[in-house]
Amino acid sequence: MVEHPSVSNAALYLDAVTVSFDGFKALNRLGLYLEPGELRAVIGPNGAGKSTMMDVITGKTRPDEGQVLLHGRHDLTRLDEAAIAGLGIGRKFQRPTVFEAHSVFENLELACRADRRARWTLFARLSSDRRQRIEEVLEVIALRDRADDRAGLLSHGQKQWLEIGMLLVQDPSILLIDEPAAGMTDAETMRTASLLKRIAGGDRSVIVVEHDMEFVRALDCRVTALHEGAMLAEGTLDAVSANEAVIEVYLGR
Amino acid sequence: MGWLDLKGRIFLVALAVLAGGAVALNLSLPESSALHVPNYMVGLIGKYLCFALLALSVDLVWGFAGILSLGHGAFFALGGYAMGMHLMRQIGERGVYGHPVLPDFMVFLDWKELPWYWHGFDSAWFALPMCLAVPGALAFLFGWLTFRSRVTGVYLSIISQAMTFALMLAFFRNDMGFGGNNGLTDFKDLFGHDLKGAGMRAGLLLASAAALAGGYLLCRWMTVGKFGRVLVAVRDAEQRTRFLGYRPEHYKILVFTVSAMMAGAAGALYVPQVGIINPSEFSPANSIEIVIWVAVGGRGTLIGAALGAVLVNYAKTFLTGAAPEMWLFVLGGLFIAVTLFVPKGVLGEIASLRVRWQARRGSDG
Repeated sequence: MVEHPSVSNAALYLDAVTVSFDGFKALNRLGLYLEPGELRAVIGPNGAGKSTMMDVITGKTRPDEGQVLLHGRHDLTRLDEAAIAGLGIGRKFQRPTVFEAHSVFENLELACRADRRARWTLFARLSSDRRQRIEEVLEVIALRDRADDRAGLLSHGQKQWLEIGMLLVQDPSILLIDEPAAGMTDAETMRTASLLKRIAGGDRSVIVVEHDMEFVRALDCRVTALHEGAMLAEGTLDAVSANEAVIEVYLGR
Repeated sequence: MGWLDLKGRIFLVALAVLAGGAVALNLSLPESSALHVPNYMVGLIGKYLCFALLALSVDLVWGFAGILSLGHGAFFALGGYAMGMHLMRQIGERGVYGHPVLPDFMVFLDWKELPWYWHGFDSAWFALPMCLAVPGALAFLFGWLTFRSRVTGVYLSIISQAMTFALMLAFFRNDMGFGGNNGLTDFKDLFGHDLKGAGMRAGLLLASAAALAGGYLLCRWMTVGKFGRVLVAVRDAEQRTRFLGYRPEHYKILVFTVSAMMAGAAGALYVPQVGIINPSEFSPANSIEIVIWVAVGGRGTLIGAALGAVLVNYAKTFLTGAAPEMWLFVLGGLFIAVTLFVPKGVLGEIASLRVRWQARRGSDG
C-alpha cells in the first residue's frame, strides 16, 4: 500500500465507504485516493462495485457509511447530482447517452459551463468564448465536420466521443468514465485511449472503469482492482496482474 | 425577431386574416349577403381558437418537456370558473331572485352572505388576473409535489388525471359554492356590454385570436432557445440532464405553471362565448381529448397542436350534429389511427416528408 500524504491534497478521497442494498454490500469499506491530474483505471469483475462507486461519487447513491471528499473540502455525501456536477465532477455512462434530437453542437452547448437555473436559461445567449471552447472540443473529439448533424445519427464510437466532449466543455476537475471502449472497433479503442491520456493532467483527474485489458494497458496508468466492494490491489497494471489475490479472483482458483 | 420562423409568421398572418375577416364579414355585410358570416359561426370560431390555445399549452409540456398531462382540462376549467364568477357578479339585481349581491344559486340554497372566496370577483381588475393565478398556483403546487419527488411518465399522467377527477367531484358539491352540477350560467354582460351583442361577440373572437397569437409567441420564445433545448433534453434523457448539472424539476415546474396559466386564459375566454361553465369541464375525458388534438396535429410542433384542436373540433361539431352517438368511437379510432399511422401527427409528418424529399433531391444533384 502507498502512504498518502494528506487528505486535503487529494482530488478525490474515499474512506471506508459502505453501501448495502437489502443486506448485500455493494461497497464494503472502500477507500480511494486520487491525485490531482491523475489518470486511474479501475478494474474488477461484474458486481465488484465499480458502478456503485461511481454512483456514490456523483450523488446518485448515498453511502450508509464513510467519507467522500472532493479537494479535501466538499463532502459529496451531502449533495445531490446537480450540485456535485456543479462542483466539477463529470460522469460518462457506459451506454452513450447523448441528446439524440439535438445537433452535436447543441449537445456541447447544453453541457457548457453556464448558469443552470431555469429562469436564467430562458434568457441565455451563447457567448463568443463559449462558442470558441465548443469549437476547440469539437476538434479534440474529431467531430468538427459533424457539428450540425443530429447526435442520433452518429456511430456508437462517435457518440462516446461526443459524450466525452460534453464533459470536456464543462472543464471538470474530475471525470468519471464508464467502459468507454465497450462496443468500439480496435482503432476507435486506441484513439479513445490516447484521447483520455491527453485529457488527464494539470488539474484534471480521470477515473476510467474498464474490462478490456488491452485498453487499460494502452492507458498506461495506475490501476485499482476492486472485488466484492473493496479494493483488492493497486499499482501498475503489471504489478496488479501479478498479484496473487487478483489472479485468484479473475481465474477463480 | 430571428426566433420567429417562416412557419410561425404564416400562422400568425393566417390567424389575423381568419379572425379579422370573420369579424369584418359578420359586422359589415347584411345577413342577406352570401358572404355574410353568421353570428353562430363567429362564436364557433372563437370557441375553436380557445381550444387551439388550450392545445398549445398541452403541447408545451408534452411535446417539449415530455410531461403527458391528462389533467389540463382542470386548469382550463379553473380559468373558466374564475371568469364565470366575475360574470355572475356582473348580473347584480337582474337575477331571477333579484338579490343585489348573491348569485341565484346561493339564494336558492338559502345562503345569507357571499362566501369569502367570492369577494373581489365583482372587479375585473381582480377577476381577470385570477383567471391566470388560480390555475398557475394549482399547477405550481402540483409540480412542486410531483416533479420534486421525481414522479414521471405514466405515474404522473395518472396523478394529473386523478387531480382533475377530484376537482370534478368537488365542484359537483353544492356546498363548494360554485353552483354545484349546474355550474355558473345565465350571464348578462362583461365590461358593461351585453354578452349577446354583435360587438361583444366580435370582441371576444378577436381577444381569443390575440390570446392564441400571444400564447404561440410565448411558447415559441420559450422553446426555440437554450431553455427549449434543455426541455427536450429532459424529455429524452432526464437523468443525463441531471448529471450535466441541471435541475429538471425546476424546468418542469416553470413550464408546467406557464402552461396551466395559458390553459386558464383559454378557459376564461371560452366561458363568456359559450355562456356556461359547469363541473363536466373537469371530466377526465375532456383532458384526454386535448391530448388527442395535440397528437393529431403533431406533438412538439406548436402550430400543429393548434391546427389539430381546430380539425378535431370541427369534426366533432359536424359529427355530433350528424351522428352524436358515434363521436366517442370516432375519437377513440382517431387516436389509434394517429398512433399507428401518423405518429408524428399531421404537421410532423409533413415536415419529415419534406426533409426526406430534400435529402433525395440533394443526393440526386
